[in-house]
Amino acid sequence: MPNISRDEVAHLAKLARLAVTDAELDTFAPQLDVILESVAKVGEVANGKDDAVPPTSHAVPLTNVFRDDVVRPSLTQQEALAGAPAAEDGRFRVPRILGEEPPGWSTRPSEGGPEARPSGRTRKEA
Amino acid sequence: MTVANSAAETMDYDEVLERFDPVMGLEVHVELHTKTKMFCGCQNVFGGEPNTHVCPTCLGLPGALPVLNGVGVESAIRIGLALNCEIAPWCRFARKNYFYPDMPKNFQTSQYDEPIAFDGYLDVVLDDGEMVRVGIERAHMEEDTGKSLHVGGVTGRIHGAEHSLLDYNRAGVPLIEIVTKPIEGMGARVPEVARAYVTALRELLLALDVSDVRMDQGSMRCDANISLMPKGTTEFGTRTETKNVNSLRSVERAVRYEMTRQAAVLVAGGSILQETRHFQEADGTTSPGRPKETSEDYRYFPEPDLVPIAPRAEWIEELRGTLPELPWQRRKRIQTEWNLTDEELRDLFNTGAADLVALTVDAGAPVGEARSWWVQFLTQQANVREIELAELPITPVQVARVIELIAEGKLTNKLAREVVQAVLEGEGGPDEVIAARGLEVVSDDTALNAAVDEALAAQPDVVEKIRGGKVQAAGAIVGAVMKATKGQADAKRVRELILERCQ
Repeated sequence: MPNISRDEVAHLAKLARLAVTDAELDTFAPQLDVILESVAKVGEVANGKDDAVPPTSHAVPLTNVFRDDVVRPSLTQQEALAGAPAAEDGRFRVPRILGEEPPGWSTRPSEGGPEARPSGRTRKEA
Repeated sequence: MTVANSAAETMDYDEVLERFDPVMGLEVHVELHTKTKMFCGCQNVFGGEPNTHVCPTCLGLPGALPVLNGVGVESAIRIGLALNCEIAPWCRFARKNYFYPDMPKNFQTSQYDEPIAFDGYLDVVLDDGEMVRVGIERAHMEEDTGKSLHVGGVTGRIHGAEHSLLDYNRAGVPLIEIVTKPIEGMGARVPEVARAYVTALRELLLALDVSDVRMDQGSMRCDANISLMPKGTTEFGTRTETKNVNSLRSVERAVRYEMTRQAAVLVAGGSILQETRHFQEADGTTSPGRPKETSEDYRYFPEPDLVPIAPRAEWIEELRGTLPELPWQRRKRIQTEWNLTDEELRDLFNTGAADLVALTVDAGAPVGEARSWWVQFLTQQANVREIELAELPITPVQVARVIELIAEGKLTNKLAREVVQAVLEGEGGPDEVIAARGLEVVSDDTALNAAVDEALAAQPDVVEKIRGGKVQAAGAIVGAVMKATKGQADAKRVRELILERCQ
C-alpha cells in the first residue's frame, strides 16, 4: 500500500525545483497518497502471475528507426540564441549555479571540477 | 584546493594493504567520432564557435524530435562485441531527469536498465606481463552535455561565479559509457590495474576506430570507484567515485591516493561518505564533491520519442565481421611471427615501437635490427627530447635505409648513429646526410692502404711486436687509421690489412 511521507514529498519537490511550504507539504502528502493508491490498482489487475501484462512504453510496434550519419545544416549562432532570455559571448547566459553540479559524468579537462564543497545535506540512499 | 595533507589524512600504502582489501570499479565515457550527433544531424566536432553546431533537437526546443544515429548504434555494438559482451536483442533509451543547465532538455537521453551490451570482459596486461581479466558489467549509449563557463569566479570554477555561460555544441554528441564489474583481489596492484585497463581500453577503441580517445580533450574520461574492506571480511565497504581523472597517469595516482585516504578515515574510526570526489592534478589528492544521488532521484523512464532497438542476429554477426585485429590478438601474432620473448614483447609495446617496427620491417629491414633501433637508440632519443617515439622526425623507411646501409658495409654502427642523429636534427634523409657530411665508410682499399702504410711507418716498434706474434698490438695501428679516416673506415677491414702487411 502506498504511503508517501512528508519527507518524500519534500524530496520530490526539491528534485523538481519547487518551493513548497510546510503547509503545502501537509496538503500534498495525503493527496499524492490517494493518487498512488489509485495507480496501484492497475498493478493488481496487470500483474497476475500467469497473465502478466508487460508495461507499454511505445504505442507503435516499431523498432530500429535509424538516421544516416549525414550532417544537416545547424542553426546559426544568432538563431540559436534568438529565444534566449540572456546571452553573452555567443553563449546562453544563466544565473550562477551554486550548491549543485552536473550529475552523471566526468568533468572535462577544460572546465575543472566544481569547487569542493563538503555538503551538510544528506540524501536517502537506496 | 588544500595542498597540505597531513600524515593523519592518508595511511602508508603498505599498511593499507596489510589491513584492507581494495575493491575498484571503473566507468569510462567515450565520445564517438561519428560525423553527426546521436539524435540530430548537427556536426560532431571538437570545439568550434560556440552554439554553431546546434539545432532545435539538441537545444531541447519544444516539439523537436530525436532520431537515432545508425552509426552510433553500430559503434556501440562493435564496442560491445570487442569487449566480449552479450548484445541485447531488444533495448530502449531512457530519460535521466535532472535540472542543470548543461542539458537544455532537463534530461539526458541515456540507457538505464537495458544497456545495449552487457556481461563481457577485457584482458589487460600489467607491466610485468601478468594478464588480468577485467569483467565488463555493461556498455550503454547516451549523449554528452554542453560546456559551462563560469564567469566571475576564481579560475573558472563554480564557486564564486556570478553567472554561467553555456555552449551546446557538445550537447548530444554520442557517448558510450563502459562500466566494469567490481575488480577484487588485486591488492597492491589495484592502481596499476586501473591504468592498464584504461590503456588497454584506449588501444581497443583506437583499433575499432570509433573515437579519438583523447583524454586531454575529454573524448575519453574515467571515473574510479574505490572502496576498502577490512582483511578477512567479504562485504564491500562504502565507495567513493573519483572524477576529473584526465590522463592515464592520473588514473593510477587517483586510485592510489583514494585508497590511502579511505584507510586513514576508517582506521581513525570514521566512516566513508558515499560521494563524488575530484582528483586534483597538482598535488595528486582528491577532494569532496557532492553526495552521490541514488538512481531513484533521476526518475528514469523509457524515452517515448525513440523506438526500441532490436538488432537482428544477422546484423550483429555482420558487425562482428567488421572487427579489426584487436590489440591482444595482434600482440600474440607479433610475438609468434617475430619470435619474441615476453620481455621483448613488453619492451616493444611499452616504448610504443610496435607499429614503427612493423613499418620498418615492411620497408625491408630485418626484424631484429628494426626492433633494436626503435626500442633502444631511438627510444633514448625520444626520451631526451621528451616526446613520444612516433613523434620523432624520422620515418620507418629512413630507419630501414640506415639498416640497409649498415648491411652493405657502407656505414658502421657508429656512423649510422651519427646519420640518424643528423636526420633527427632535420638535415634531411640518410642519403642526403651521408652526402652532405661525407660520412660514407672508406671501404676503398687503395685509400685504406695508404692510411695503413702511413700508420705502420709511424710506429715501427708496434710493427715489430705484431711480427713477433703479439697480434693484439694491432689495435694501436687500427686506432691510428680510424683517427686518420675520421672514423669512417671499417675497423674490421683495417685490421685485416694491417695483419696482411705484418706477415
